[in-house]
Amino acid sequence: MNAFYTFCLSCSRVALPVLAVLVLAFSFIPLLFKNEEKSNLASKLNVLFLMLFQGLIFVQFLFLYLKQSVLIVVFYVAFVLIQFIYFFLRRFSGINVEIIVCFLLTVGFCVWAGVSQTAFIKQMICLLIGVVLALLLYVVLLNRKIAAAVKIPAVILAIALFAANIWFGTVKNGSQNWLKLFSVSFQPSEIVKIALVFFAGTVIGIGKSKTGNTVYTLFCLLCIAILGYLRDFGTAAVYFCVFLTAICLRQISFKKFLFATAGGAAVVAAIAVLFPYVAKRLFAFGNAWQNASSTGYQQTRTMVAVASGGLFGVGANNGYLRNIVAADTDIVFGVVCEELGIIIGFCAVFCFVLLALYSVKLLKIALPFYSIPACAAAVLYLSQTALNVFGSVDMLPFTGVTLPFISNGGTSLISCIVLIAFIKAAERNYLWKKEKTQEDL
Amino acid sequence: MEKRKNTGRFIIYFACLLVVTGIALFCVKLSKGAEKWALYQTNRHIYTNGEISKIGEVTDKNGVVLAQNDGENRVYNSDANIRKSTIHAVGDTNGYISTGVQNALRKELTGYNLVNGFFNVQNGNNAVLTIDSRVNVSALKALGTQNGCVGICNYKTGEIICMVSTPTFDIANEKSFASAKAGELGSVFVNKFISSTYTPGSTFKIITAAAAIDKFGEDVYKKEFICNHGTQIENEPISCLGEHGAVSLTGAFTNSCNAYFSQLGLTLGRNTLTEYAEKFGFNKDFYINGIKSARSSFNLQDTRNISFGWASIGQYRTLMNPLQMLCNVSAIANGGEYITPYFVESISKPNGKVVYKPETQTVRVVSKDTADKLLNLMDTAVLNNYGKGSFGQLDICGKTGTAEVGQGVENSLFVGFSKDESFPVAFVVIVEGGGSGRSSAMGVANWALQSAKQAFTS
Repeated sequence: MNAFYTFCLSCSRVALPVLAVLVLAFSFIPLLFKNEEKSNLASKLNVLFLMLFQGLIFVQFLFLYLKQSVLIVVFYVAFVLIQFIYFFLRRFSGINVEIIVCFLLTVGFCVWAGVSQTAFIKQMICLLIGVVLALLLYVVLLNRKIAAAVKIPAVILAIALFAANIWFGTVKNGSQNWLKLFSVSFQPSEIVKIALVFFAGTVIGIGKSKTGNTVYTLFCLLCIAILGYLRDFGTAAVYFCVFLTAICLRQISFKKFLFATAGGAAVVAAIAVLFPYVAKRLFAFGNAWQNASSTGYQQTRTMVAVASGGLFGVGANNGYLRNIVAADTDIVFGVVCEELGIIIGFCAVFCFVLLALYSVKLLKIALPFYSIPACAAAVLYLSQTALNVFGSVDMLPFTGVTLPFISNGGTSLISCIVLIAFIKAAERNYLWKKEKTQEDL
Repeated sequence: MEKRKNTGRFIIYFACLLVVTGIALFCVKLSKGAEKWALYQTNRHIYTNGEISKIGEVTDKNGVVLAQNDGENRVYNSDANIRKSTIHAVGDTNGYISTGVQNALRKELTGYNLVNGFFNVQNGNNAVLTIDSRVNVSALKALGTQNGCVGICNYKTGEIICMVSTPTFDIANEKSFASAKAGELGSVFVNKFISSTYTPGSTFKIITAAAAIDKFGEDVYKKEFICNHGTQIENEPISCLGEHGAVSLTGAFTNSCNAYFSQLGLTLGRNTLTEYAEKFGFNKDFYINGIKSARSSFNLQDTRNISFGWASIGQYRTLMNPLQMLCNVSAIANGGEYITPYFVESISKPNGKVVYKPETQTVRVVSKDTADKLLNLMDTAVLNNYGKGSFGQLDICGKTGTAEVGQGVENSLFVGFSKDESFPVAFVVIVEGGGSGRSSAMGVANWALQSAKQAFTS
């Protein structure tokens, strides 16, 4: 490391976690509190902190990628510019969710850039696709009639995708959860997630809630069963958390909630009995260090990386964990902690907690059609994050779920961005209803 | 305003709580395990090809470099004898010698802490040892082809001047290192001074004597037992090398009379002897620079009197640790208390800032009065038996030991100290299979002590 780079790195590695905490803190205020003026001021400051954060990352990128992978720098700058223009056009208000997402994406950039220029460009393209699809979905959601029309085709598509997966699916890393279409691999379960969240708010209607709930339950259980068959237990667990949340929010009785949880437990027990080796693999967590060269390999290396990074990290792309298999997907939390520091790693996790708390706030006023999918999306992010992060440090079973926005996966990124549309739509509905009731008064 | 009451939202609060709790639990896990994780041998921040590389220099007390980085490689002292005699203190880079400073104190040598992690780790920190490589070389030469260990410390400060363990190997010689790794050289990676236990043999009589001195006071010198080339306990024999007749403490100690001490032990009783064994560190953990030594053991449960008799003279199943014994003789020399020994003086950053210094304590073993009486016994033993002339100009007090370890093998032991205030050292020497204490261990001790004296005054 030359001296100038080391100097810049020493400064930025302290400033970055501070800025990350500030972004999080200043997102907390407007997301959860009511005062409009203070919220707007907080948002403006927040944009400043975020841009400073991105600026310091940019400086690191200059040292790392300007010579060999200049396109990374170009795409990064393009993103930051477009982001700023968007914030400007929105007049720096009502952008709190976007700020959190952009923060998470910036952390993701650090991960992807270090993989390769091709990976980075691929992710940027997926980012673009995701944003376009999200906008599309946003427009569809706000137009209830179109949304209603789309329902049935969406179910068919979801089932079809899963069927294709079972018949033509390719196995990657132990789970058969991939489809190859024109030499592009994608995960159908990521796309079905969108349907899962979408239906959480539809198929109900307050009067018909009983049939609606049953239909939705059946759909979810079918998806979970298919995922179990495909051996993707992490995603199955995430689907189950979404299902549970949706069911709770649809105001069923406590008895039915217990029933649903019992059902889930029964499924898990069934798996344990039918596939004992699966149970063994899933419940082998907690012993990573005793099996450090075999089943505990990735988890122990993640813990080594987290400890080596310390609170402030060793600098983007200076870590060693990224040389290990699945470093950019399953154990990406370790890469983030090693390179950007434990503080930023925790900030990323707390971002999803913030999104969840925000979606709860929207519940009060927005229509269930909007607010329930928003909560479902938030719980999806949260449960996936928990499984990924705690699985990688051996506190939960190690599954192949990705860390939303940050893991290096095209389909994962697209689906995560598309899911934001649900939260934004709920937010729009929330603000619209709030204005309406204020007008009425 | 149409506000919906939705109790279902508690599931989301619950989910958030679970995640936050998870993070908190991870913080606990991190605070307990971060060092262990960061210093794990696969961590490429500090290990290169399985060898620890981001550590600084290791020097002896006089600045002689024992190990340092030379570009990509770790190199050791250019003299083969220095390498072989200090390798157990220095350690290797793969962690085979777990008690060497390069492994046991690698956290301080790499300068790890949780806040900074391994950011910009370049040269690591430097360690200064208390050992004098010249004395180590002498001790190694004195041991020759025999296995065993030598430990010498300054009983006024606790610094270890000499710490040698054999068998040893030459880390700079590929064949030698490969043989060591293949297990062809025996327990070559073990620092016996720290990590072994030995049957104490007659050196245990120091403890039996201490118990008697405390229990009987001044009368202890008048107490006599009969030695008829040994004695009998419940019709089973305990042999003795000489026929000492009616003998009392001083004479028995000087001549190492088994008959006297075994009968003395029985008179004292199991509880008292155990109590004093534990005062002298048996059944306790000893640490040197935070490294735990092998635990000694003294256990008289369910023993017949004959076994108790053997235990009183350091046989039966009793095992002592050389580090523990060194502490004991240091205490006798130092008015009844010893200073916890250490072989790593300090670890400092390249700019000189000290990041590690051992914590030392003063530990009392027996009263000053008892210690002085024991000192006199050990002094008289040399004066009237081994001969002060055996040690040249040095004024040495000591006790030999001949430990029977089965199959006709006898380990030779010699423990003691210098009475001279200007050369305040204590020592433990064990030669495996060396026969009587006098025949091997004493000679090795003398060699090492003469070298230590020279080193001391230079």
